[in-house]
Amino acid sequence: MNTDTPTSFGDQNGILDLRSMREVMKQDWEQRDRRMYSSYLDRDATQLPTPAPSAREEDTESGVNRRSFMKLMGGSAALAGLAACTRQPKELIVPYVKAPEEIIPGKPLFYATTRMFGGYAQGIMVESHMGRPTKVEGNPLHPASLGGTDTFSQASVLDLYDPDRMPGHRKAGIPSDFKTFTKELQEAIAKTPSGKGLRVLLPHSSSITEKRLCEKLLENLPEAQIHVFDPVSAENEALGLEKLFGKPMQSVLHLDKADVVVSFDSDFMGWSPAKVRYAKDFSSRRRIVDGAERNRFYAVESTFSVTGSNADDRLPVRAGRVEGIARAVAVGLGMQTAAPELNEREVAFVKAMVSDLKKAGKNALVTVGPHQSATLHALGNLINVQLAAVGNTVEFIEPQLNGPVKVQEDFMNLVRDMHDGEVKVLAMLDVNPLYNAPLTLRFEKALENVAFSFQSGQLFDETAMKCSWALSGTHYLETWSDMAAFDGTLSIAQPLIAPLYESKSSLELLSVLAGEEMTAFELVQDTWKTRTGLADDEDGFNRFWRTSLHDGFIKGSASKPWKGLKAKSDVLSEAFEDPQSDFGLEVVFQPDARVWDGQFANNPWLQEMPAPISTLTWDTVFTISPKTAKKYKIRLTNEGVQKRTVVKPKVQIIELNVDKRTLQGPVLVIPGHPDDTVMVTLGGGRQVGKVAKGVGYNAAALRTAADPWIQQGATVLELNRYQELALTQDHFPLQADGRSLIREAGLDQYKQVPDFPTQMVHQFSKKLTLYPEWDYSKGLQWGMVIDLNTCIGCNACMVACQAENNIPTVGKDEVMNGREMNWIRVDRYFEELDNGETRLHVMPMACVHCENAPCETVCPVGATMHSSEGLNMMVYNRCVGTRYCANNCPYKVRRFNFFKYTDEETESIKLQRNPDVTVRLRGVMEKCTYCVQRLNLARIDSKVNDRTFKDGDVVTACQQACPTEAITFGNIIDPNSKVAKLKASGLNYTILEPLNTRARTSFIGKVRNPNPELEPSILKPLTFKHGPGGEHGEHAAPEGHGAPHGSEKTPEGKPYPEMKGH
Amino acid sequence: MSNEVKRDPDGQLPFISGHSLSSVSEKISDVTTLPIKKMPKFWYGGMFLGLTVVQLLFFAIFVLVTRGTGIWGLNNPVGWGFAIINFVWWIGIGHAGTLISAILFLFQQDWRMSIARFAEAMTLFAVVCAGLFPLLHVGRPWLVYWLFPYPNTLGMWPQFRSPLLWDVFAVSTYATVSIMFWFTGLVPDLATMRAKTDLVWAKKIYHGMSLGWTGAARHWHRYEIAYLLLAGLATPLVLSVHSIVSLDFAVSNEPGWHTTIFPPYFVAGAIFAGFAMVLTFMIPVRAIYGMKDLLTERHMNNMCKVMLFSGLIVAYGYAMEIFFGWYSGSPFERFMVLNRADGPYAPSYWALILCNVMVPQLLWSYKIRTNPIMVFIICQFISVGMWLERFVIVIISLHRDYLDSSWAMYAGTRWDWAMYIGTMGLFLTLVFIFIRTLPIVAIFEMRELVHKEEHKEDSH
Repeated sequence: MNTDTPTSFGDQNGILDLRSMREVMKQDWEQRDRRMYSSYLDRDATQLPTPAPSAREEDTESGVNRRSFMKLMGGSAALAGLAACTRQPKELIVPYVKAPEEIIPGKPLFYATTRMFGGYAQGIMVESHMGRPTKVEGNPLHPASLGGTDTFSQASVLDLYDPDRMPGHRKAGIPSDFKTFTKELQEAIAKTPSGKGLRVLLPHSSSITEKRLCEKLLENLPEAQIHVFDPVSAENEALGLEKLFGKPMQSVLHLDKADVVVSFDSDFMGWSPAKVRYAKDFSSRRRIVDGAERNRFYAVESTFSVTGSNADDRLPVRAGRVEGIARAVAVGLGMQTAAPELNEREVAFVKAMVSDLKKAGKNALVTVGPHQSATLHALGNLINVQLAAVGNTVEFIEPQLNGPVKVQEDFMNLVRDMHDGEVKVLAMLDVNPLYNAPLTLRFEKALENVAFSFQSGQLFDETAMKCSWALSGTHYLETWSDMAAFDGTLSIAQPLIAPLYESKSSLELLSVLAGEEMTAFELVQDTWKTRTGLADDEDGFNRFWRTSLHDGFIKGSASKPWKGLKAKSDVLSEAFEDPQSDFGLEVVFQPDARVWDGQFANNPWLQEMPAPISTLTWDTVFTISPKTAKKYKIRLTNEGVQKRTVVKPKVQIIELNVDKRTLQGPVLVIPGHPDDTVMVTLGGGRQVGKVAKGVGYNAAALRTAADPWIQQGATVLELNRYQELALTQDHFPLQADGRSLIREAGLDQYKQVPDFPTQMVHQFSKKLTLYPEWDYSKGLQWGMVIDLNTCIGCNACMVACQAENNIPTVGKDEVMNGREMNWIRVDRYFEELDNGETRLHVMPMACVHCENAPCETVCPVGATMHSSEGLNMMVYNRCVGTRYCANNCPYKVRRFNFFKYTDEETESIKLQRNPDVTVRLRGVMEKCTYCVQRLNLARIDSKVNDRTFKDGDVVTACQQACPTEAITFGNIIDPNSKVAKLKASGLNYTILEPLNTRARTSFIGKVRNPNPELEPSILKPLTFKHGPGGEHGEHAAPEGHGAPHGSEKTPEGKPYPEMKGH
Repeated sequence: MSNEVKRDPDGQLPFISGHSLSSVSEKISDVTTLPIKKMPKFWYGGMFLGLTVVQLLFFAIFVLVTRGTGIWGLNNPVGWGFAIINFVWWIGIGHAGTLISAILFLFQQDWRMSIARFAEAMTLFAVVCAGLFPLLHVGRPWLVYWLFPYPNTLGMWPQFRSPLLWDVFAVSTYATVSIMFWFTGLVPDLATMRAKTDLVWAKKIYHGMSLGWTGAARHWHRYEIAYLLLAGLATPLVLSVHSIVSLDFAVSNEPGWHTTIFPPYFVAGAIFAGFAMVLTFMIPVRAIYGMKDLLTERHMNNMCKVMLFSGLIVAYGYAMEIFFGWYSGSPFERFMVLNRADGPYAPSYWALILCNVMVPQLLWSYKIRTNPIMVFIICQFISVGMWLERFVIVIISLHRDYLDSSWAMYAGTRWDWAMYIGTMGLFLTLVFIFIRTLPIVAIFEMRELVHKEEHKEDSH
């Protein structure tokens, strides 16, 4: 296996001469020994009769002969005694003399804190094992989380232990110290008259302390300027709302209140500061099994997004056309505006949206994607105003982010000034413009004109390499901060661990710039002492401080929404130009679902997480639709898989060309992607980092600062080169009939047949088994239910499982070999509808813990066994690795360690591991355990406290992470448990029933709610190919639900939904 | 050797011709007692090839143990690959010997005498090659002894429900009984060799191995009974080994594996492959060592008939698999059949049909059955075909089973091929060592045959 991409951190050949911690420590010790020895020699050379060994003795071959060896040994013995008298080095890690009360070795502690993402707060709880943060969970109290998390939060803990982190500060690449830096910085600032020529470049942030420090800086140096750099800036919303209401604002959606949601290119569950919260709110209207009043979601989108894949009705169009559709909707709602000509499908779609929006009135919601124009934002929200939805399903609050609204323009001004030589000192804190800024700005060239520049960050990255100084920045778990959530709720973020290296946080560096060096703790406390005005005593400020830290946010600090806003309808009279498709290909830029704008590119968990929809790992691609691929004659050798010409799919590499800007990359065809548009993702093409380097292309080559998201008129140059992609699932929609994996029905159909999922497949007798029956009616019997209505396919469960269960990453080559290790995966099935549209189904799949487990009977050494609680257990120590169990598992959820995937060498990575979960070695099978370590912990807890087990005592890692609560876990024989109630629902079903495996994980059948105008077949009564079998078991069909049994075909002679190809 | 052979009264070619009791002994033992320098170039070539290729095996094993099973082309749905294919293939090849020695012995098929020794040796060597794979294909080969039920401090038995464990018993029993059977049959000949060889150390070895055989009537009596008993013991094993190997598949729930027809179908396939392999070696050996008088066209004729018959059973098996796919009503079984015939691995399926069903039909012709070159070519087809059969069963079922989300493609890597080709080297090496050290045809049985032939002529 020649992996260019390291399987995880720990490659010893760091290109940046970053040594692993162990090496650093070793060298440190060696140097210290040398120091001691040489100092002794210096001091006492005169007293020793024989100098240090040299080559003058007889035996020069080995350097040491018997005599000199004896002398040296004698000398060493003497030195050893002396060394005992020297001062020992300062050790920061010491055992507790007095153990803190709350720390019980072996028991983790949880601390609330907040992580900043795109400038906004994500509320999290961090698990800490003896001072080591190991796992991130959602903060159930925090409004942006309510207990859920996203992939980035889950994976962020690994960045803390990234062995590529810069251990110390560097001057022109050479290690140096912070004191020298501050001295040089003061000198450089002193040269700028009252700060003229001093520029500070910050990422988007909602930190109040940062704002305070910036103000202080400007007070001291009034001529200095502060800029913001954000490659994924969502400024268009604020600008659009400014257009509409006269002042910049940001929106807060209430998806739980919306009966009808219309999204104009809005991926609110994938790209939003509140994506976790929005997913939760959205899913609350989809949890049909709890009697939710089902919403209807229309998506008009220019990509295939996670959010769009959950739409009841989805219209894929070019990004440039979305505004046209929105205008047509506005016209339909009685507004006067210029709408383009629509095609048949679009007309029907607009008609359906308009009628539903009208019907829903104030319970409707229109949302617009951040990459769409300010005009569309204004227009979309004007529709909200028109429908009186403002104040109900959507509210507007003051922008929470610091810095200017027009971020891109502001940044362009900075770069222009740099080119002009007006910038003397440039401070870049936690930004990496050299990688992210559009190449047309020539930032690298501009940076050469800056006399004194420094950058802080965790990696010695692209920008750091070109700066005068590169400062080691802290990870968010190492420092204090404060920030605001999407709704303005404020939080104080506390660190979980002292900085691993000599790192400085952005706030600390800002305080240096502002003229007074303080620690982040002091800075944040100062901010809040001033802000709260509370007395500095136990009952005053201290209580506030402790409560805020404990809760992870400050109660009641959410921004008040604007009331009585007056909307201007100027936007309607704006001319609309519909870019024609024959003008060329359209390019839409999107942050990558795995590595975002590249900030997570050095995180192997995220690199190896299959992107939703495409299941792509370790790469960035150009996504196009099959029709467009045909139009541009892009050859897809992966068709050969079907035509059996090649074993491994390869895709063609093309060169995109927009206004002489070019970018090369592989093409991935995704059905359901809009025609005539190509999606280009950010986040690839990093130059540094053992994990990130060489993965994908850098979209900065094609982007411009003026039009960062959508560009028209691209041309395609097909290159005669092909590339293999690391996809975790076969690429094309597969047509395998009759598997009945995803079972779904329309809302009305469901009301007629509430147990349609079990009706769809013939139910066999569960008593048909040769093995004796095991008594599963006592004690605790674990089981899981996954609600396919609420699962949005975001993959948070996958990363959570990886973090919880010490699952190794395997690297690009091994993913291509089909050996990824994720215990839980999100299966993706495309469904091609008759009207040519593509629908996407997702199905989280982990070990289903069969009661009749096929894997158990075939293991020759008994390494996989069943517990009395119904767990299918894996005994790693006993496993010899025949892989028979994996072959015999119909769900294919077992994962084999073909090589030694676990990184046992890199010291820093070891700190992340969950001490409650065994680390697996080569040649051993592994799989989902239902988080048995958590079960055991909870069982011990209940025994210690002498109480019975309660529902909700145990939460599995996937369940805990899931932002939509799609996963329920618990004791299935406790009739009051949530999981038992779900299992009793008519919608509950297991897949592959004829195998009689009696899976403990079951699914809740999907209930769709498309507009019947667009999909008339959804109103037809369900019929079943298999009548309710003689052995219908406990799922007996209720009497008289009116569904005709026995007939196999619809009136048109087409097989009914259960026979569809997925 | 081109002397005109007389036909039997019933018009058949004789099993032996132109030999006296002593000439048989001379001829066979000469191969072994020939001074090493006088060994034919064929032997040197074969031995050189075998020893060269076996290095590849050792290297592949070294890399496998140091780096891990990942060097092979296995992946997540396809947990078994070349190793299991090769295991089943070699075990199948190892069937002919015992079948010829034991079953045909019990049925008093005298023609078996001249080929039995060679076939039995090949059985053993094939089992050695086969045995390597299950030991090495596991993730942690150094723990493979956990599959054996031995008393241990862990207080653990192996898991008796697993067909892999049954495999361990079946194969090890088969290997043990085969060695005993083979060795028992060798004892009278070892005594002959003891007398024939001039080398002192070789004499000592033959002396020790012949267990004090003097050729006394009492010895012959004991020998006959022992041989008969062992034949009785070995006979069910011929049927059981491959039946149990087939249960590795049949007991699991994979579409295309979970079939009741597997045990007989596997046994027939094994006999098919085994006879093909025996012929593959016998045809050149008889030509090069001038043994056309001992290993006659009539032998070929009979063996081809067995191949044709077992081949038809195999073909019936293929037909039944398709029938079951339809008759089961299971979408997974139905898909499996279609995927074999029209999936990405369809070429291997159709090649299998060509090799195992179409080509062997040539054997209906008597002329082809007695034409060594044609038979040799057909045998190659069958060997390839039987390997493809296991490929089709193992890979095509696994690579696309129940959940289409997990489907994937499989291809052997160079290390897969190195292991496979390496075991061929091991097999060759063992065969050529055997040719050099032991009589490749049972001398005493041939003498018995000569006696019978003479007797037949007398009676005529």
